[in-house]
Amino acid sequence: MRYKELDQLLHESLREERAEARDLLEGMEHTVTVKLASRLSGRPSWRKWWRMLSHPPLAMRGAVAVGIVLALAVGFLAGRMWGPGGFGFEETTGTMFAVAAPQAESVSVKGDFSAWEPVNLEDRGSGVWTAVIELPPGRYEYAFVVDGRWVGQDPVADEYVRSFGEYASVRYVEGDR
Amino acid sequence: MKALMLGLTLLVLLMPASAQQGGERGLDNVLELVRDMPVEQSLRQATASALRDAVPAGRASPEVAYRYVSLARDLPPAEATSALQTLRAGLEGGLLVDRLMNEALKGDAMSLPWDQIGGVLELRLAFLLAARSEIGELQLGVEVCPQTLRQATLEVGWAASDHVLQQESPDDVAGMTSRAAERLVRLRGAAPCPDTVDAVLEALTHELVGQIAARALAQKEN
Repeated sequence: MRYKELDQLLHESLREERAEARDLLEGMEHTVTVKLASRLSGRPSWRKWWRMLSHPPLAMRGAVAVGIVLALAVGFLAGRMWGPGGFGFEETTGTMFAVAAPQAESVSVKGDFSAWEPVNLEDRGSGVWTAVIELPPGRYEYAFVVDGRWVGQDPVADEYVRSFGEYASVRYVEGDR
Repeated sequence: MKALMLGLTLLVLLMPASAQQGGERGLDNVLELVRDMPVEQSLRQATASALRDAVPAGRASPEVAYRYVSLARDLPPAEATSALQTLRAGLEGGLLVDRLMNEALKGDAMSLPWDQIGGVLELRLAFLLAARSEIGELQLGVEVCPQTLRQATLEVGWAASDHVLQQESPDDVAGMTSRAAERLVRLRGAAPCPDTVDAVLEALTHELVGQIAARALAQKEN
């Protein structure tokens, strides 16, 4: 076979393939343009972001407000729990009042630090009821009330006094000086 | 509705603990109670006036006074009058009256009747006033701090009356003096002016305490 004949055969073959592929290429440019446009619409430009933030939709405004309130609430509660004077898990300062009463159902301490109003003690499972009370330096008179019964003599008291025929304990809280 | 519930929940959580517990009492709350007492107007006015002087001066705290006057208000008129007269006498006598009022509150915490509480209060008041008079007449030889002198006077009068109440006899002057000295030593460690306490401690003799007891008992009998 000569080169001229071979060249002619190749041209005819390519022409047939182009004719077969023409249907597939029909609308290809449009399809590619649409796909690219759809991808770009999923990534808004900074202008789009700015527009969204400066003019947020109603639902987003509500979500942001709730988020701010929750963040404040969580911060506030954390501050109360772990900050000074909070209802922390373990108080480390103050004066400890403790009484062992494993069978008791309720224990409180009454004293002049609370104008003799009861302050409840807590039993954390050991049968020893405790409360820690912040007291400035001074002399404090007190008694425990265990299931309604007056218990005036605390073993760790500095002294005991008796008026009205009943004992009360006295604790001296020292200052820093 | 959900927003309202959320708001209310947060309000309760964020509310200060003191507000949830009712908060502290002030002088105005005490004066309001005194004004409503079922006693003579002259006694109400005199007590209110004495409280207005004593609370800012640190001789009475509003919280204790509020509880005391509340207790007195719930008594029958004759006993309420007695309770308010005791407070007025302590205030007008220049005493620190919190411990006196707390003594009544302690008696109430023991569920005791007022006649028993009032009897002890009268004895306490007599000893405190006698101690103020006797110590006030002393030449202490130092420049005293008035508030510390009041505290020292309170400790001496209180210790002497403690001894009488516990021993049920005013004759043990040595025991009273010893107890008063112990209290003054304790006070010395916490008082703002230890020199004033030292001066009272130095002047504290059996003779002085004997005079306080004699004056107190004479006053109580009158």
